[in-house]
This record gives sequence, structure tokens and C-alpha cells, in this order.
Amino acid sequence: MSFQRQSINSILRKIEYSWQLSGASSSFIEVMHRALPFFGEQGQSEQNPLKWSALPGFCCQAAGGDPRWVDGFAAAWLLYYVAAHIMDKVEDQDILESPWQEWGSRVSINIASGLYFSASLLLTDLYSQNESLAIANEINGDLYRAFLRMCAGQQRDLTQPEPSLSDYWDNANDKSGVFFSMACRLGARFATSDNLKLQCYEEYGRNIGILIQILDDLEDFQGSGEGFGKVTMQVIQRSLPVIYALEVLPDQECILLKKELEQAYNQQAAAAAFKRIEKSGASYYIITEMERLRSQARSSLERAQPEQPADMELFDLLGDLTYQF
Amino acid sequence: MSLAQVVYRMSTDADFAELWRHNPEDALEKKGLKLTREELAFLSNGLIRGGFGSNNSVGLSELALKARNWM
Repeated sequence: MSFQRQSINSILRKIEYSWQLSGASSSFIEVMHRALPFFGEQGQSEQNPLKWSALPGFCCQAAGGDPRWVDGFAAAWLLYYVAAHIMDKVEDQDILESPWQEWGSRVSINIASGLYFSASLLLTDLYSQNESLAIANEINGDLYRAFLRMCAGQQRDLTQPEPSLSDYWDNANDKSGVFFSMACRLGARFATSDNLKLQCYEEYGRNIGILIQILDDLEDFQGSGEGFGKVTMQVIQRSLPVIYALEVLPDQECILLKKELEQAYNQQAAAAAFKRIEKSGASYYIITEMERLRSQARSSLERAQPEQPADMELFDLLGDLTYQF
Repeated sequence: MSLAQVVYRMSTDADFAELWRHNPEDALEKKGLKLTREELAFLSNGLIRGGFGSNNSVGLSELALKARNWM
């Protein structure tokens, strides 16, 4: 079994154990459990984001610690990740796949709440473990401050009428970059208090988080080029390709693009908008920015001078995320 | 001029794209554009990865498909 798989299994066991002791009804635990599989079934972890829950453990080991020290924190981080993903789907009115279709937004919000509190419950364990007792307050404080920043980023993203490219990068950082930066910084914090190293792991995570946000945006575009998939136009209008195009196109073309996007329920208008965005060079811009983020993440990791064998895992995670694009 | 605007210029101005192919720094200077050395390196790599100007250029549809498979 791979090192990554072992870490993930250990994290999942921690969640199961915490739920068993929580006093929540078995039916609710079963529902929360069903919320997890979209992160992949056993054996499929190579291709899905469940693998990111191994980040805190890898960073802890890379900084000289034992990855098992962070299992509880990593389990909490994973549950926050799933809960935030559900809330994101609800906000974007994007609950079309099973089991979300069956549950609808009201039940989904309740499940997300259950996951948030499950995660917070796991964090209380930090006060009862020798290896984390001294840093429990710091971990909790840093994490909750990061969550507030994420909420502020999400609020801006939901309410800015016409975000600029600069707004997009600020929001991507605050929504996703900050979350992944905490996984890496706080994972390493279990092993070291060297602030320079912690900053390097933080930067590595931040760049990975922003890369994942870009992929999340791209996922919404229909592969055929004839439309924009199942998400609403509000989501598409806040995506990187559209924001880039509106930033660089001349005024007259911007007006046309906005009109086409407004009428994108019509396949012809959607295809015209897609073509206009494509012609503006959006794909080259995105690939270039991914190149920048990959390079920054790699440099940060090199500066951290990570220890074996986690160093290879961290470089591999980055490579897997970027080299195919 | 930002990186985004240089990419747009590259995608819509064949003359600029041709100049870039021969010498990116000269191309920027001749058109009165500026990028940092790092931005120039990222853009050069990005254009190669994206197959700019070739028959194998990577479009949005392909990027989207890869993102869906990856996610």
C-alpha cells in the first residue's frame, strides 16, 4: 500500500472513530458518510482530491516530524474541505448529481453543518495529545482566522458585479489559496517552529490551492465548445476564462460577449461566446498562469528543504496537478 | 502592459506573434510592450505547453476536459 494511501486510510479511520463517539444518530452519521464518497472510493485516490488530505501529514514529515501526529488535524481539514464544497455547490445552485439531487439544498446545508461541527470536534482532540497540546491554541486560531478570510473572499466573489482580473486572483487566493496554505503550514507546524520553513510550506500550499481553483473554473466549461455545461451563467461569468476575456477585449467586443453570455441558454449564443473567449487567447493565458503557480510552488518547496520520503510525495502532488496541462 | 494584455496581443496580432517567434524580447520592444524577465519566461513556457501557432494548440475545450478528468 502506498504511503499516500496509508495516510488517507488513517485519516478516514480517525473520522469514523470520532463519529462513533459523537453521540450523533447512526442515520445522520450514515448520511455524512455518504457525503464523503464524492472524494473517491477506496483505490481511486490517485485521481481525486481525497489525496489532498495527505498534505498536512506530508508537510509534517517533510519538516522532520511523524505524519501520524497530524492525523486528527488532517481529518478535520478534510471535513472542512467537504463541507465547504457542499456549501459552494448550494451557493452556485449546482446540486445536480447524486446524492445531492436527492437531498436538495436544505438537507445539503444541514449535512455541511454536521461536517463543520465534526471537524471542530476533531480539533478539540489537539488539547489531549502530547505532541499538539502546546500548539493547539495556535492551530485553532490560525485556522479560524483563515476561515474568516475565506468567507470574506467568497462574499466578494458572490457579490462583485463585474470582478476584474486582479479581483479574480485576490478571490482565488482568499477562497482556495488560504485553505491549502493552512493545510501545509499547520501540518509542518507540528514538527517545527522555524518561521522561514513554515512560510515556505504556506506558499507551496497557497499556489496549489489557487491551481485547484483554476481547475474548478475550467471544469465548468463544456468540452464540446457548444455551451457552458450544467452550471448557471452567474458561475460562468465569474470564471477565469470569462474574466480574462472581459479584461483584454476592446469595449465593443466586451459588449458583444456580455450579450452572448446573457443569451447563452441559446446554443448559438453560447457557441459564439465560447469562440470569442477562445480567440482572445484565454487558454494560453491560463496555461501561462498555471506555469507561474507551478514554478512558485516548486521554488517554495525547494527553499523549505523538505526531508525524505515526504519531499518526493510533495513534488509528485505538484507534478500530478500541473504537468498534464 | 500586463501579462494578460500581452497574451491577447499575441493571439490577435499575427505580426507580433511572428516577431515573438524569432526573438521575444525584441518583439516586446518593437511593440512598446514590457514584461518582467520572470513573466517572459512563464509566457514562453506557457506558449510551448499550449502549442501556440502549431497544429496541436491546446484550446479551452481540451483544458476543460483535462480539468474534469483530473477533478
